[in-house]
Amino acid sequence: MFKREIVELNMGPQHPSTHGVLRLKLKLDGETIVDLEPEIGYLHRGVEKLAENFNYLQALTLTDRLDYIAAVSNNLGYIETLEKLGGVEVPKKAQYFRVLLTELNRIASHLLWLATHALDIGAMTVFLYAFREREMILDMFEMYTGGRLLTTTFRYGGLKEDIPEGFDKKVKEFIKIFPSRMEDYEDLLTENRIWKKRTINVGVISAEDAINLGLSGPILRGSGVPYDIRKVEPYEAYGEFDWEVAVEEGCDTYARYKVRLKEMRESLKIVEQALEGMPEGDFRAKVPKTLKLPKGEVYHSIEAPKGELGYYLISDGKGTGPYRLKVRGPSFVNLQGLKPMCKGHMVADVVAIIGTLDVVLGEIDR
Amino acid sequence: MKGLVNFIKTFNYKDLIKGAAVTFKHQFKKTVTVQYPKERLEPFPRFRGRLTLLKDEQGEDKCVCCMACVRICPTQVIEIKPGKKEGRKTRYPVEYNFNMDRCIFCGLCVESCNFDAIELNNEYELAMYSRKDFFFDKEKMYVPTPKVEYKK
Repeated sequence: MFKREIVELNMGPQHPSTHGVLRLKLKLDGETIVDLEPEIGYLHRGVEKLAENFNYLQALTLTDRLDYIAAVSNNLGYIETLEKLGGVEVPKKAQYFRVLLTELNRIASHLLWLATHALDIGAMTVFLYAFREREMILDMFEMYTGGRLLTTTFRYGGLKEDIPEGFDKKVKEFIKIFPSRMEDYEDLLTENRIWKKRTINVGVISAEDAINLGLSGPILRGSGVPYDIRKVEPYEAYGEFDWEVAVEEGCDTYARYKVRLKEMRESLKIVEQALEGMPEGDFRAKVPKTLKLPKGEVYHSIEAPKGELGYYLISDGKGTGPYRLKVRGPSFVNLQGLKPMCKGHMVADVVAIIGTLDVVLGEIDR
Repeated sequence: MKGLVNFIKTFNYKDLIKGAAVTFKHQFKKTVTVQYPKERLEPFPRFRGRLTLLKDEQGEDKCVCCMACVRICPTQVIEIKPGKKEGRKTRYPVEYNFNMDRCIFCGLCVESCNFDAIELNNEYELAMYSRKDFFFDKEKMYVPTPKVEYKK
């Protein structure tokens, strides 16, 4: 009497839980997802093309606007790519401070993820608490760079400015407060039965699938692959610090939640070590005022909060700007995992899975 | 027996009580929010606000029209018309136009300036009612934006 029908449903681009302007074309059998296709491009600004018309320093401001939650990591990846091609030795002090700021940025990025992910699933309290701690980190960014979100932090050959007075005091205060705040989040979520029911066995992706799709970052580590570029190919001063790669075997949303929480703790460990061992000396190597790079091609990738962030740069040796700049954004690649993760789940779980992927549309659309 | 275990599991609210304890604890903590229009936070000294021109001790323009800021600006919002005047060795800006609605507050102009003639001040309430208000000529560049006071 009744006919079974596959219904097509558009989720987004203005849906509050798609974290930006992501549009999903869902094919539904009742409430179950049969097929899914992400539609992207609503936030396209042509960053890669714009970079070709800019010089190397101006293009730095574009990298801020890729993954605007983790602008410092984006800056670091770009500047390191330039340094790799230019062959500049960065002073030790700059290296330590770069590590310190990027790790703080990782905590800020994960805090925003935790806040919005919990809000999507229905735990509003965590949202407010996590934003309170993120504010402390943004204050530090404002104190050092002058910008809170779009920081334009580093420069070719080191840092833009010296570390201001009172900065270390602020970081120390954060290091003191943060572990107890982490316990608060854990008390609210980790053992919570609703949280567990919404996350365990939701969005499962095996290690093999994750590798084949090219996923990286906490999603890959949540599937039990201990791959972290900071450990595999240490850049900056990462080789000198004592920390562990956060890995969980669960392959589901809950495992990825645990990976990110553990990563925040490890990041705090690195921040503490970087602050204690901060060497004295120059903060910027001697570089010419107008930057000109030799002819060549270079690819460099770093571990951004969301995964492997790579920059591919071609310099023709004549101009003062990139001939071509390609960005390998972690969110863009990680979004490919959405389809295999969502298949067979309910519509309500899609919200949880988008949350666990931690995508930022500024970087996907570029 | 199985029913009893399930019964205990359902009514074992340990996890929920743990969460409620956190929120209960927070009741007695100091509030972190600021009642914005009445109270305002002061930004740090390096905060990148509105672009302003600076004068030296004699009240002369520090700007010598080297055009470094014009060249470095990624969004091309600065426009300078240089000129000469008597009693001044260097050039001075006859016009210094700044279009704030396209400014991205990156601070590259200040960084490129060799004469400390410009700075990004600490203003952050930069919303305007009209597009025309975003256009700053030389006179407007020196004066800070008037602050609006809110009363009850």
